[in-house]
Amino acid sequence: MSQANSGTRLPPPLVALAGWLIPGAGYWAIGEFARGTVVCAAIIVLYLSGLLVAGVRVIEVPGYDSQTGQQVLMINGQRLQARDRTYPNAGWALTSGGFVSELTAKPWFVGQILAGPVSLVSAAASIQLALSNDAPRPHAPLETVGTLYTAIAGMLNLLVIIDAVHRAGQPPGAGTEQPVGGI
Amino acid sequence: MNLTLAYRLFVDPLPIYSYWYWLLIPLCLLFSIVYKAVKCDDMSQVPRAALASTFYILLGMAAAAAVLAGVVKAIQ
Repeated sequence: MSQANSGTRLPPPLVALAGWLIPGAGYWAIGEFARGTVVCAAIIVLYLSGLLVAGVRVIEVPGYDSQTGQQVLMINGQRLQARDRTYPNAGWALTSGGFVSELTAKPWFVGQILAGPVSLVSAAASIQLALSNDAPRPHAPLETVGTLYTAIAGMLNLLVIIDAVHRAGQPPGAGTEQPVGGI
Repeated sequence: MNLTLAYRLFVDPLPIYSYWYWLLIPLCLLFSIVYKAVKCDDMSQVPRAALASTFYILLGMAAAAAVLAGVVKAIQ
C-alpha cells in the first residue's frame, strides 16, 4: 500500500511542532495516517513501558536534585550544599551559569524530552514524588532499562520528526523512494 | 501479621530484577517498528521488515556478547 501525501500541506516547522506535541502527528499532518498511527503507538508504548518498568522517578530533571527533588542552587558557579540553601544570593542552577553542567550531569533528559509533552508531565511527577519522598529512585539494572526505553523513545521521535519534515518539504506528487535492501 | 506494600503503577519499579534482560526484546521490536515505519515506502512491508530487523539486532547483540565474553575470558 503506497501512500501519497494528500490534503492541505502544512509548512515544515508546523509539521515538526505537531510531531513533537503528539508523536506521529507530523505524518498525520501530511496525510500519512497509517504511518503516523503506527509510529505514535510504538513511541508512546516504548516511553510508557520505560516508566512502567522503572517507575516515573527514573526521569532525572536538570535543575532539580535527583534524590530530594529540590531545586539545585548555585552561587558563583559553585553548587550549594543542602546546609547552605538559605544563602541569600544563590540562584537556580539553570539560570545561574549551571545550565550546561546540569545537562551534562543528566544527558538522557535531552533524549527523553524529545518524546513530547508526556516527558514534561512525567518530569513534573518525578519531581513531586521526590519532594514528597513517597517513592524511592529505581536501582540498576531497572534504572538503566527505564532510562534507555524513555530516551530511545524520544530519539526515535526526533527521527520521525525529521522524516515527516523532509516529506512535508517535498513537492506534491514527488515520491518518497527509499533505497531498496539493507536491514 | 503479613505486611504487604501495594504496588503503585508507574510509581514503583516492577519487581523483575531477575528477568531484566528479557526487556531487550520489546525494546528491539518497538525500535524496529518505528525505524521500518520511517524507512519503508509501503506500510504493508513494515511488520515483516520489523520482525526481521528485530531478529538481526538480537543476533548481533548475542554475537557481541559472545565475543566480549571470549575477550574477558582470554584476558583473565
